[in-house]
Amino acid sequence: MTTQVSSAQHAKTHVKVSSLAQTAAAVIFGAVVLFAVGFLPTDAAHNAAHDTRHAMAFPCH
Amino acid sequence: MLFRRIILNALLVGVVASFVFSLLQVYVVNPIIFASETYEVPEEAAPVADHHHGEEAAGHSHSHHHDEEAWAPEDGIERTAYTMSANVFAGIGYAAILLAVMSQLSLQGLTRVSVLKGVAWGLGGFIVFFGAPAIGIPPEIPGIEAAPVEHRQLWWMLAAGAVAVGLLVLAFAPLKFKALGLVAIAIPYLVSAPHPEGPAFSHPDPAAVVALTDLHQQFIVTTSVSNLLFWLVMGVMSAWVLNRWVLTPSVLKGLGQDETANA
Repeated sequence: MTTQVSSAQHAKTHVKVSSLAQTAAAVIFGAVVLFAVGFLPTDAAHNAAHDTRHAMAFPCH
Repeated sequence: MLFRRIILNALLVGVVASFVFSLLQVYVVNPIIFASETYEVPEEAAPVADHHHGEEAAGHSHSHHHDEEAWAPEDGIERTAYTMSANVFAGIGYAAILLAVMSQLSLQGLTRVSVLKGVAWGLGGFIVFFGAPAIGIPPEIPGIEAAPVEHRQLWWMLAAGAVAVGLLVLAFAPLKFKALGLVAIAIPYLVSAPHPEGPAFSHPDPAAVVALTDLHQQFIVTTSVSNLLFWLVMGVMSAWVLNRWVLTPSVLKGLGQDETANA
């Protein structure tokens, strides 16, 4: 019984780290994509996303 | 795998929400951008009161006076296509963040997301990523005088980040920590947004300044409505896909949680 509890606890700890790593990776993915659309200073990136940057209230020009 | 499901569903949510946004943008937001651009004065040219870029009647004069040499999409279909693509990427990016935060809080048992709560998540996203930055730096039309773009970008990130943390603390942290949420929300406004000295529009023609000021007011209203609808679709749809395709029984099992773990 004791063993079962401790192994369950171990599994739960492992799970939290694992899911946090995955959700954090998804947040980073989203942030990188948003940076490219809204913030990348390269002229071509700015011009391609120009109207989106204005419409979504990202700083532009 | 949780990461994979978040990204795949973010693609779906991002495409749908940005489609709604693109429709509004093409019909009510972009015409204001194009009209503003007809008043843009090239930096190298001497100010001339009645100077307009090219075909002002078409309302399409397209020029980025600060980088004439750089590539830019052609006005018309090409420009609209790039705008819609950029909208899709922005939608995917926002959806990935939203779904990831929803997933994490659900897995920790701090919330159980429903479609109705999706409305609140959407409002939260609107406040964090549009409202909070726009309070300090209202949505800008071309031709407006503004502080250096790097400063505004940094402040934008500070405003969105601090208000995101603040709202999450207010909503999900234990009562004794909630005051810290208010502190986080106040920080960007205590720092205060970068603004230039002088008038908002430096166009030499007073009539143009009146027209630009009017366009700017319209722009603030139409972008607010468009972004609010975008975020409501984002919130509701993210909540729906979260329960249906992200936190599925098999994913929860893979994470060592049974279906009732986050009840």
